[in-house]
Amino acid sequence: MTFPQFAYKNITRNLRAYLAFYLSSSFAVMIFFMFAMFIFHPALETGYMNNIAKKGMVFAEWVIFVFSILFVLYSVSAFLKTRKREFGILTIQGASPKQLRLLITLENVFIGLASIVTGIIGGTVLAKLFFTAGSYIVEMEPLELYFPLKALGITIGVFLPLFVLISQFTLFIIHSEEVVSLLKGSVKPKREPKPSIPFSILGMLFLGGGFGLALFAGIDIGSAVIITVCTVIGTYLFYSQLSVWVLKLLKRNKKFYRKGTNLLWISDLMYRVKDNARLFFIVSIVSAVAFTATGTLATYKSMFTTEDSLYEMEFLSYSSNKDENEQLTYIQQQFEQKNIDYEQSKFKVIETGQGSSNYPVLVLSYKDGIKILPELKTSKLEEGKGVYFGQTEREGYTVLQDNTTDLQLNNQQMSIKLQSIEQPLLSLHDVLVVDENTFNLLKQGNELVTFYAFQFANSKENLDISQTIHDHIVGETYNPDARYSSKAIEYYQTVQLPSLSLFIGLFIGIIFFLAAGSFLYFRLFTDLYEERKKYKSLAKIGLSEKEMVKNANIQMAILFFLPFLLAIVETGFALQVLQREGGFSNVFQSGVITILGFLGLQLLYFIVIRSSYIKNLKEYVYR
Amino acid sequence: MADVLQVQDLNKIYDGKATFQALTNITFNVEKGEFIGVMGPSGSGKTTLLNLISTIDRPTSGQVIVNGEEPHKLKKGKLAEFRRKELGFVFQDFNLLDTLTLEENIMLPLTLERVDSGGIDKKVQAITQKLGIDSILNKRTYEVSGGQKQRTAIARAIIHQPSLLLADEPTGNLDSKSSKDVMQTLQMINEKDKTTMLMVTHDPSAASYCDRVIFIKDGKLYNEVYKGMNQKVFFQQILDVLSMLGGDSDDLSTVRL
Ligand SMILES: Nc1ncnc2c1ncn2[C@@H]1O[C@H](COP(=O)(O)OP(=O)(O)OP(=O)(O)O)[C@@H](O)[C@H]1O
Ligand SMILES: [Mg+2]
Repeated sequence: MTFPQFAYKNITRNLRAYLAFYLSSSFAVMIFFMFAMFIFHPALETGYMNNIAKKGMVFAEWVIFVFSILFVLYSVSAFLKTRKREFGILTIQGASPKQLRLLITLENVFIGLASIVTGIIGGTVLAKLFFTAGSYIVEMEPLELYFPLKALGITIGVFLPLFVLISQFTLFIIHSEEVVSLLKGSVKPKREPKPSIPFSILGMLFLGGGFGLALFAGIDIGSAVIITVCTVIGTYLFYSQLSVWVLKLLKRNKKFYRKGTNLLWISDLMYRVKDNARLFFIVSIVSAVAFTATGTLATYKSMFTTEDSLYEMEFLSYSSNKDENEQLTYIQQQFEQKNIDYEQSKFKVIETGQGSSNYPVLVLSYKDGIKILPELKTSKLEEGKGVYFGQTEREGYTVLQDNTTDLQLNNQQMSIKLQSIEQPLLSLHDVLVVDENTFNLLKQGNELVTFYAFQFANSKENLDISQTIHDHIVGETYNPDARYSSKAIEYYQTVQLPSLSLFIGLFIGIIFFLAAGSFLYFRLFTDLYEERKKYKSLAKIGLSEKEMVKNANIQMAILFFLPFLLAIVETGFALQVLQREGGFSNVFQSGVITILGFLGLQLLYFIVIRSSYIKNLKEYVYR
Repeated sequence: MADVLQVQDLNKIYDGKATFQALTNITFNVEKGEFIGVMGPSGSGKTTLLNLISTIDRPTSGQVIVNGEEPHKLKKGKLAEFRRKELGFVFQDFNLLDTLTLEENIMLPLTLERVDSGGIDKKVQAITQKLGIDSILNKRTYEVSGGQKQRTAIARAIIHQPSLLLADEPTGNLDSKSSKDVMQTLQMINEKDKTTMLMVTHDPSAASYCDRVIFIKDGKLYNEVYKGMNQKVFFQQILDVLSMLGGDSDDLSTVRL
């Protein structure tokens, strides 16, 4: 038997020990791949997402990768724990360090390759499912499944080296241990952790500091980083030190500690707090990221309302605009290239501001007004009066009192009596229609601007030319000489973009949530074998089935919901900052809904895992 | 009824790919206060017998009666209570929890019984002084020797004063010095507290502490030997039976890690 054959046989025979490692690695690959598929999706490549969003996504991908590393490392160490004895025996049998290295490297590469393949296949299937389900939830066209060359390349390019590196790390651990301790392997008990007072206090300070800053400090890049760092460190110390303290206090309370199964779960929790601390920490942070991302992006959905303009495109040119003719030709050229039959109207209007906030308004003469809206004829406009077309409230601000009768125009002595307030006509600005005389009067104090309006069919499918025209006229940010608006862009920004954001938020949230869940899952099931043995011997000395179930329930509930609770608290503070500083006015509401949603999922997950775990225990311990 | 344990016509058949009759028509009684040893070659069915008596496993037929009660007829919940109240266990691999201190290990059965904290302290103190482990109570399992671990396990097994103490090769993992310690401890408990004991062992010198040793071969009762006045003579008698049992009796006392 050659050595590679031996390595292969070793895996196929030790399947159970390898299975957990293989599954968890596959899972990490799957999540990474799914996300990569999403980022490099052709539909998102072409203009759908702006630069910042894209950078955010790439950042999230790297976060996922870092967690993948932690995840894989975590399962490797669990995996190793069960196999130390085997390495010890091999060493005693005379396997040279070189052979051992070859064995472990081969094993890891083999499992690594297998999990990359599995992860990619699983990722593709799940992505398809998610693209379909997600698009259904946010009411947009489903993203198509495509051949993700880039995502494939990145996933393989990142994970293959990772597995090789990890095998070297494994070797490092093995070499630094004596054969004897290898032989004792997983039997060798760990020491009970001792909480350190300074670190516990430090942990409280960090958490308190982070939360305090989040509540009261002004937010810029610097303080955001400080808050994040404080919270992260605080969270870690919370689990590794503070929780030990709490357990220690519970232990001191003999009445409580020595009652029923309390002795069992408290000492067990205390004992494993070091392992658990790392797990709780990761799960908390990952969940907090998931909740915040989903909660924030979910607000987009409710932030905007669509309003319908009468025209597909509007173009406003000030008298200072030297490029007016060229820009107009440019627009017309775009239509011709796309073979769009359009109708163009042109008006001379006055641009001014209205009310105390000086809200921009276009003043039209009655003659032009009925060209745009023929119905205006029926409601005869009285001399010296005007009709206002616009929304009285915008983004939470009152633009115009509902019962305004006198409209105060900027730079104008006289005020306009309002005959009525109607729904908006144009998307660019609000509109005020006045009779000829008043218009002529106003004309003397104000310059005239030229307003072009275009009408054609198929409004929503000209996002691309709308965007080119927008870029040509307005440029990156702002053109003081001209305004441009297009229904397609409007629709995209108010309907599609929020939907997409929500979709991305859901996607990130669910991926991170899955990651956190799988951490818990693997923790639980790598420990299952030891737990079964423990309960079996406890059963012999009279632990009843009911008591075992109760004990396991408590342990699982802590595992599932303690990190979840801290994540909720952290999310609360994050959302608070976003609401105050980020201009997300109703982020709390969507945050609460998000958290409730995740809580529901977590409960479901808990119930499912719990029942299979308990069933396994019962079968083994009490048959 | 003076018999603490009655075993009547006990049969155990393991169902598997091939069914296997591990025990055939085993019948014997153990009186109150008796210290009984069970010996026999590897695979003869000793652990199986102990598992049936301790209600960990169910017999195919036959009866086990402890203090007049038939535990195998009890419901699951009652069974746990029965074990907790009537039985004490000592295992070859100690079965102590690493996560607990020795003291906590000892008090575990009492906390499950919900004895109040003060009562627990009193009982733990009394028993550990008797067994000479009161100075190491706050240590953990990995900080003490095998003999100390086994004495801790014994303390845990008898803290609730069980009617019957069951031990499966309690000296199997110990060197001869620790074995002697543990056996003397068991003997002392047997004599002082009149605790009834049943111990499975491979070790003839351990068996020589018993009042009576029964031998099993291929799942059947083979022989039994009573102790006279002299432990040395008893030891020799045990060796004789073992050599008659033949086979692997030579390496019996050397099965050790
Ligand atoms: N769960 C089981 N299923 C099938 N056969 C079993 C089972 N447990 C034990 N046996 C068989 O029953 C027989 C008796 O086993 P038992 O463990 O009682 O022996 P033992 O006398 O305790 O041996 P040792 O001295 O080696 O501990 C053996 O032949 C064993 O293979
Ligand atoms: Mg046995």
